[in-house]
Amino acid sequence: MKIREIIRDDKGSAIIEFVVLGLLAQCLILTFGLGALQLQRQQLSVTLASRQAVRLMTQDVGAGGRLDSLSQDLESSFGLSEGTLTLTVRPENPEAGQMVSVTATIDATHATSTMRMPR
Amino acid sequence: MNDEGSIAPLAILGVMLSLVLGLVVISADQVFQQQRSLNTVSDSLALDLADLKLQPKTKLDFAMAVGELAQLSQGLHGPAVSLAQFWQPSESRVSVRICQQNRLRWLPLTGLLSKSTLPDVCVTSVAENR
Repeated sequence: MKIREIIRDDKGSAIIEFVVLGLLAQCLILTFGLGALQLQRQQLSVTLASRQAVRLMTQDVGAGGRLDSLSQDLESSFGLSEGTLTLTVRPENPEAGQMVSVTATIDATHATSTMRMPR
Repeated sequence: MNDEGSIAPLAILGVMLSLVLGLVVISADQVFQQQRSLNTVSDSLALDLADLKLQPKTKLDFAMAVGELAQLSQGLHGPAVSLAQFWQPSESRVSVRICQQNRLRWLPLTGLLSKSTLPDVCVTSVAENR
């Protein structure tokens, strides 16, 4: 069959077109979109969490022990379930003038923020 | 009006258009994420330099700022980060502008758009010591 004939040929079932294009394709797009949105939400959350945590560490040397409560506060702010967000500090007890890094992790998404402790 | 014809070309065009739109949205999101990562580094750099300014016998200059940036941007993914501008608007204030090459610059589709419109992603931060 020539291409022109294929294009002109409008035989077929409207139900199949509706199911394939109207339902299946739209559902696929919706599923992909929701997944991408969730990933973006996680990325934004870990970036913000690591920034806040590293800032807290530089403001107060003894803040390392309070990271758990900060983590819980951030989880409730972001609407995450408990224990989803993990904060890791390196080094655990930074000295004045030393670089400190905090890595925030949610599932496979992570972000690291680095700051220097006040001298 | 004549409505004869197959729906196949329409469906193919629709799918292609959706794919292109999806790629554009994803690349815009990537640039946004890159900008946020850079912003974290530039904020840290500005705060660090503002703190350095308080130290006696320390004279801040561009080379010192570049050295601090190299240490602060070690964990950052992608091309190297460069210090585009460094200035001190007042005695207590420090302002920095850092740039990184757009990570999507060399991708076939988004590269066409970003190469001419957004070759580099840049951010500016200001910090003040007290």
